[in-house]
Amino acid sequence: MGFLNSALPKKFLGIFPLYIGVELILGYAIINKMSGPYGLLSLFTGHPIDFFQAMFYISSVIVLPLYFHGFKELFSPRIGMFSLVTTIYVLDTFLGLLSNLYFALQWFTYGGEDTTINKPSFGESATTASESIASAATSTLSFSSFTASPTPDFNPLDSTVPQPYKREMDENVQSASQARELFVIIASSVLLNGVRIYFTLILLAFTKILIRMGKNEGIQSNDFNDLNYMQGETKFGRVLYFLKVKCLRILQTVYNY
Amino acid sequence: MNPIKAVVVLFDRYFYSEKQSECSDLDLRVKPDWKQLRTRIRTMPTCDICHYAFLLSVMMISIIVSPVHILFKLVVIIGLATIFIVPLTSQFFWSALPILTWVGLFFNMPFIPVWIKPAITVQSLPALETILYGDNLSDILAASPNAFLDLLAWLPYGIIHFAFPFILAALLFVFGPPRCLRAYAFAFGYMNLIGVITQLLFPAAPPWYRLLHNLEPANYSMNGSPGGLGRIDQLFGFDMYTTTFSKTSPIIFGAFPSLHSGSAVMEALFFSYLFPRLSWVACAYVSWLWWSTMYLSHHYFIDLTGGAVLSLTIFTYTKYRHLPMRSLKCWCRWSYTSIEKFDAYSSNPLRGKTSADVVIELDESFSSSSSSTNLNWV
Repeated sequence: MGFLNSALPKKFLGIFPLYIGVELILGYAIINKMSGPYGLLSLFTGHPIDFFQAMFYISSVIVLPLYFHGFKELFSPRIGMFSLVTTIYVLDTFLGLLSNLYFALQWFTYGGEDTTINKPSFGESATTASESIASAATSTLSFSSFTASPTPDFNPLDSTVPQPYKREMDENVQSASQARELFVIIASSVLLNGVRIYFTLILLAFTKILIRMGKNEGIQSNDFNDLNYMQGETKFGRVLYFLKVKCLRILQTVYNY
Repeated sequence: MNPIKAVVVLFDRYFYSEKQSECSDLDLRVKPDWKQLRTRIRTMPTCDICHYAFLLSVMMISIIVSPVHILFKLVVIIGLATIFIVPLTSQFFWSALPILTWVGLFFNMPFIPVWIKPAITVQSLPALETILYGDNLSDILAASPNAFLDLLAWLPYGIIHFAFPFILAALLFVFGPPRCLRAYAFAFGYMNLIGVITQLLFPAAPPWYRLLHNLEPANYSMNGSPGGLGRIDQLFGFDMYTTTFSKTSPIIFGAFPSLHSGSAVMEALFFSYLFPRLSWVACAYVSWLWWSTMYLSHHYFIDLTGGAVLSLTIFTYTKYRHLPMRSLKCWCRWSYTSIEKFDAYSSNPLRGKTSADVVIELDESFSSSSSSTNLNWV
């Protein structure tokens, strides 16, 4: 685990205190996990979702209040709660990577054409919409088609037209080519997952200092006040307590504390 | 009693009578103070110079590409120069410069030559949404429209979104500490400006495009669509959105990031700052607006998260850099006797509690750079 300890950043983005990073990271996490409630609304709209999608949305709904709590508690953090938040975030990052791979496979296998959706009418444009849909050529993105690019009718070698204006004149090349679309999709996915891993390291670094604070000041039984209130708690409170202790022990092992 | 006089009496009784210091006073001078202006320009910090240089560059681009007559452009430039020099107006308009720049760029977007604009992406957003969130959530929510849901979606998207920024500005001015309105103008303006620049550099088709044209290539001569708002026009029997969104919308392919989402999140953050106990109302409003944008097929979920992330980032920067602290003991602007800012150093929950790892020297440098900001200019 020595490698992890040395890889943990000391500052957020090299200049800001860690807690500002944690404030942003938990805020971003809350924003992202809002996909859960909206995804589950499919139960009411009749849009079919598969098992993995359902699990993805349910897990988002479950962790949403936890991230909210961590965000709210940031300026007076308790070791138990942040151990739980950090461990769940690490797990979430790992499962997020796997789900991204699974959903990417789904997209590239079946393409963007979802025949199960009900296409709503947009008032007066409804006629145009149905005409467009009927006449439109399906051009979904796939790995096999990424080399294809729009083929303009005009002659690009026509020297009488100044180069910059050729694009303005030809509407076919105003849309991104398949290769460009694929590049944007893959580059964005890789970048976002890279950022997510960095955020995980920031959260781990923050919680490491928090746990060390407790150890250095000998407040194992004092600052752990959120771990001491289990007696007389509800069943949910006891489960939460158990999870906090488990997560704390895991992180202590990870940090060698 | 004369209603105006009644308002003045009530204002005096409930607000102005609270006044204990001059920190809440407005500058009511009309005559330009050249000496003060010169001093401010000479002592302007580097970051402020960059801030104004950036905004003026964008504003100049907007003025250059605008198709109006050059005389009208000159009138606009002279008018802007005047309101920035007169103390009475300058105290508001210096802070509102990011908003003015955004509005200028937004309405001149159609006049930017097509050969400069990047190619429109049609498939990237739905693909990324599926990869990151498992499905196209806008498809899920727009699957079964009805008149009641149409009205429920129209309220935040078509009405509250346009009115609330002004209502919040008034609330911040009356109930917030002095100078918090400047911070709001800065954050709100920059969020929208960066959002519009992103839309220009990364043109992307919204969900209605996919529903109307599948994933076929797009071009800049295409008309827009009111999406689900077209049904509102049908319901009320008059053209409120169809022509606006189909023919006169300045940005057709500006799905990412959603400025509706960005604005709602920014308003929610400032509203929570002003009334912390009502944070849940702000969260409910953002959730409602997000649902409506997807239900009306105007944005993918990834557009909403893009706008929200942009807002949260800019708000956090503004909070530590410009925003004065709200005191729960002060009931309105005139109750404040001094202005205190968030201190990144003293706010640090890890501060000074451990001998190792805590980067106090770093916090101090960040904190000192924050406090060096000249609030009068921002």
